[in-house]
Amino acid sequence: MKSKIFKLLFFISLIFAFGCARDFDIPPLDIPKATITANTTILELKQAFPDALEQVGVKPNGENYIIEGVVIGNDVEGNIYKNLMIQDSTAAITIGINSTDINSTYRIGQQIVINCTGLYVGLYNNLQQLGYETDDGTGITFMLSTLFAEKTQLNGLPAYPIDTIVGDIASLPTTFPALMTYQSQLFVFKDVYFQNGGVWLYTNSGKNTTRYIFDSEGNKLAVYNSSYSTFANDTLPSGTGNVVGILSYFKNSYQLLMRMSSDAYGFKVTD
Amino acid sequence: MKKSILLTISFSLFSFIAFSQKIGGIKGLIVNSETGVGVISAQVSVLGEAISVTSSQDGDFRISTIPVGKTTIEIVSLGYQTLSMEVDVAEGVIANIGTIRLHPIIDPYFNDEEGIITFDESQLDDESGSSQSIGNLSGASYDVYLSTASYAFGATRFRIRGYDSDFSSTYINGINFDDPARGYFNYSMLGGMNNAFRNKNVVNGIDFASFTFGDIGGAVNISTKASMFSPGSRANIAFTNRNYKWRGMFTYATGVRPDGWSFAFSAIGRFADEGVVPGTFYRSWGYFITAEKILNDKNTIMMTTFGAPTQRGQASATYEEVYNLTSNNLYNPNWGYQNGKKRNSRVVESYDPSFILNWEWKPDISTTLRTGAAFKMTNYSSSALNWYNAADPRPDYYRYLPSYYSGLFGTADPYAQELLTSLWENDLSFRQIDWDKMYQVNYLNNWENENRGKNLGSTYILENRYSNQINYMFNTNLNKRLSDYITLQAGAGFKYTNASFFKKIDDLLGGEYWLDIDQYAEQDFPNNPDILQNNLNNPNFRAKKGDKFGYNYDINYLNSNLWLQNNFNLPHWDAYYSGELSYTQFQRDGKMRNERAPDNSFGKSEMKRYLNFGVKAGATYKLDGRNYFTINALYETVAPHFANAYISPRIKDTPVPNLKNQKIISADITYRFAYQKLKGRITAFATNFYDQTEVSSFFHNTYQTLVNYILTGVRKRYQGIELGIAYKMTPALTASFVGTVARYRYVNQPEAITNYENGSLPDDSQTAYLKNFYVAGTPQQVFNLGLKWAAPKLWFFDVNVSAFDMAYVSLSPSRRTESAMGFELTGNTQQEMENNYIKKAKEITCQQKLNGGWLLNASVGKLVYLDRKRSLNVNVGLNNILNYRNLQTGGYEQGRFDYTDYNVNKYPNKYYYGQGINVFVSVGVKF
Repeated sequence: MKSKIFKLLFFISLIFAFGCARDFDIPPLDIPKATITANTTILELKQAFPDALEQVGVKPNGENYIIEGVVIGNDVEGNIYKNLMIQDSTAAITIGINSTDINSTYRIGQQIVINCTGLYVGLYNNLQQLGYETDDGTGITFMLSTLFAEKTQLNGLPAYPIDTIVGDIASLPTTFPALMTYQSQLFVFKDVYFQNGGVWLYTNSGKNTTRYIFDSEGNKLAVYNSSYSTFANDTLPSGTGNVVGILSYFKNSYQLLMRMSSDAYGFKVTD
Repeated sequence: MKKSILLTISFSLFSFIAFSQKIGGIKGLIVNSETGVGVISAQVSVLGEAISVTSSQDGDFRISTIPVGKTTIEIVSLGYQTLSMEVDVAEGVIANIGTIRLHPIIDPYFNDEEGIITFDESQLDDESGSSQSIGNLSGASYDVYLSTASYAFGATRFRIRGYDSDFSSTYINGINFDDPARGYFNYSMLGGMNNAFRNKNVVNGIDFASFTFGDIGGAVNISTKASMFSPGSRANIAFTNRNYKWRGMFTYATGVRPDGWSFAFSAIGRFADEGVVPGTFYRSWGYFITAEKILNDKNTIMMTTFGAPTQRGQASATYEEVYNLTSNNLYNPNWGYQNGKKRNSRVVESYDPSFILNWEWKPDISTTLRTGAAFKMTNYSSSALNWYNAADPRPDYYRYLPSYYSGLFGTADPYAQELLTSLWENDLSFRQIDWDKMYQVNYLNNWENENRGKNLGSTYILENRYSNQINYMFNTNLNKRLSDYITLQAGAGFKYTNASFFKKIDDLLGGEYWLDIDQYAEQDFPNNPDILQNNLNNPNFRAKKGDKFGYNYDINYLNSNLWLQNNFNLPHWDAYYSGELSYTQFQRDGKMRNERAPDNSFGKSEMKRYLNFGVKAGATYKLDGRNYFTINALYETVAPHFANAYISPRIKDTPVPNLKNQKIISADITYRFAYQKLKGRITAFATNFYDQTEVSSFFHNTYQTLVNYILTGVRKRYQGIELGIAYKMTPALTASFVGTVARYRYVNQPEAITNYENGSLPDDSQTAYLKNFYVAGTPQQVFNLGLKWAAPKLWFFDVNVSAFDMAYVSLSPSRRTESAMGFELTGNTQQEMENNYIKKAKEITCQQKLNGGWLLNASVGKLVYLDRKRSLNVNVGLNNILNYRNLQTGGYEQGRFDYTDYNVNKYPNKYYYGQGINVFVSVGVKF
């Protein structure tokens, strides 16, 4: 009898030695569904907070300001820095987020819903954007990425259709409130050529650089390129073609921000 | 020395003959009656004559000058019952009186029959492996200091005499099993099978050994001779709340069978779904089989094989800020939830199967030749997350901490600090890795591939870094008696190692592939697609699960050594001298052509060769049978270990510049006493190291590259005093006191080379002002006071207190260079500027002391004899009864330094903490 007990003891000890091999469950593809719904358009938000810096409060009816938009610009190729641009049918807005990896979660074509109450809307060198106040409360700056994550919900996979507006350099407005529907939108400028196309690079000696595109009438538009973009050392395309980008604004003039190198397409050299 | 002794003996001999007295002699072999192992240094005296000799390392002795006739000899050895016997001496004959069995005195204080010592080698596992396997030195009977140190000081990664593990050697059946990459013995290869590996010959410090020249940190020879195991079975089951929760162990031995065969077998399993540190797990089992055959009275052969496949989830050190935010000194940043289950990103898998053959030849009673050959494989892999162009997934990355917004990195943002603090304190999933999110990012990449025609691989993966080895070892060891008083030990050994280093994709985390490029290079040289390649021979390789990628190189190593030793055992003096010669060579064999070093990464590098020697000598003065004074001295040169021989071996074969042999001078002096009630020793030791090389790596945020930091020409001095005393207050009650007071310091200003792995800056050389800074890790002052009571009815009680102090964080040399002193001088006068400089310099260079403290431990044991053969033993041990949680067991300064504001708080130190109260309950049977 005793020897049986001892044998049992031995086998028990072996059982614990061979713990069940662990195979990890693979999580399924999550198709997110937002639980908050928008009650404000982006244009309405911009119009409600036009000042240099103002915290977004609650709507007159007591609800939070909730907007919804599709991602049209992010840092996917490194040209845009700590910014996310979204558009809806009325306008687009730039959102400042203190993160160097926005595009993994907020991809172009992704619909998001943002509860803006508590955040700030303000002007950064005359570009209206959503963000947070600086520590001394004098201006607008990037918001904490954790804060943005708390305020935002994803809706569906990044398959939402995006509107690209065909632009005309000459007729871009330069005063508020007309600027509100243009700033941060996704535009395509057709039949343009780069100054020193085919010769100069997108950026000059490792610094952020402004290049210019000209349309057939000779109107010019600044194209601002970051030295951290993946195409910073590529040569500007030669000839004439189309350039897509976020129509951003700096001080008193527009600048186009390409999101990726394929935003300059269809370039052909014509005699 | 030798000549004069021979002369003395010859003279005495001749004078005897001159007086025409008739003499003869005896020779014999003294063994332990239980194990059959030879008794070392037993004193054999002839009563009535002033003749006394000492038995050799194998237990043989010879007295060749005894007057003819009947006479009585007395054999005395510490730990054994004294034996007197009558011998009949014939003229001119040295009679072989055969094997004499001495009965060991089972002193419960020194006896750890049931593996009650709860030292746990799994606590040693840190990446650097700099902690010493002091548990290996347990079983050093009758050395109060060693037997106490092995369990009392394990909680703080204490190292005996402060030496790193590469300065002690571990042998199994006479073959050196140290890992040649770093010189450490991988204690976990024994799988925790204490019973199987309990037969040890332990050499402390620079005392002489019979099986090796030895090392400053001592040496151990584990013998797996099947005939030494007491026959029968032992089973043991234990519960604990440490790295593992359950342990089951079983051992069976046949003893010597009539057909000359002996067998012994052991198996073990250790398991924890989650250890005391959250997110860690432990799964290990081990096997041990040994067989011995006595061919005839001169020859014995043996075969041993063992291994312990283990898989465990690890913890990592983190910042003080994080321990405070989580209110948990055992917080572990390596795990997170995946689909509701805990998953650890740092999983280690190891398995070192070994196979040993031995042959022992005893042509006569005073000669033994032991020869062995062994084969050992090392399979070691450690997993880690990797990511490309994405946010750092580690929860304790410094930018996710409130302190990042405290003003150290730009303007302060109190709102952000508040928000992050609240998340850290309250949101459990915020503190840990978000596995589900990493899968989601990879799934979106797949979705974009399908729907947008992109070709994206995984953004996040889990990779497995391998360090594998195949080792072939050979060793032969001779023990021979040259005369009554002189013995000779000699040996020759050989080791060949093929080490492979590479990494594989372990899990693509839902994505399609991983692009094998150097992601850091892409930032530095964005328009040069070639510079991205880890392997120009297979550019832009898309690695899938199980593929090798990133780096792949071998190191082929060969070592052979020869040593010789002479031992003189006179009635009042023992003396020895010893010498060793060794040859080492190794070379790197790259399997990938890395773009950063296209001409010296692929293929075989130059062969590095080193010739080394060592000499040592010592003497012991035996005042009487109870008081011994010993002095030892050693000088040796040590070849570099190949793990530290190349600047960045994953990329290229450039060797560390100025890599030289280390030189070591060491000496110790000991007073040992052994009275009926009081036993112990006090030792003073001092060791000087010259020309050491230290290599460390860290990621430099400003230059976005891995930086290799190399110190050469390092000099260190280790000195201290060890004391161990046991006082038997009554036959059943023993009190002991053990302690070390020591200082282990750097004593020069070595040269520091900074190598930027991405080549963005050239290698930079500076002086590191390290003089008088402490060597890190081990506490330099430790004490233990204990009481053991062998109570009636086979109850055993033990209570002890261990105190630790003077352990320091591991230094980052960059903080002690001139460029770290580049801050702006403030002050209005010359004197003020000087004072402010010194103040700021002290702040930057200060080496933080780790929190010490004291721990109260106790254990209770009961032995029950079920019948004459069978017994049951139960033991309950409680460590750190007062639940002291602030003991810092280790810590290191970060390699990064704030060259903008020279603020040391910007990149704070990381620490490990010891566990609170922990328990070990074991139940064992012997049958």
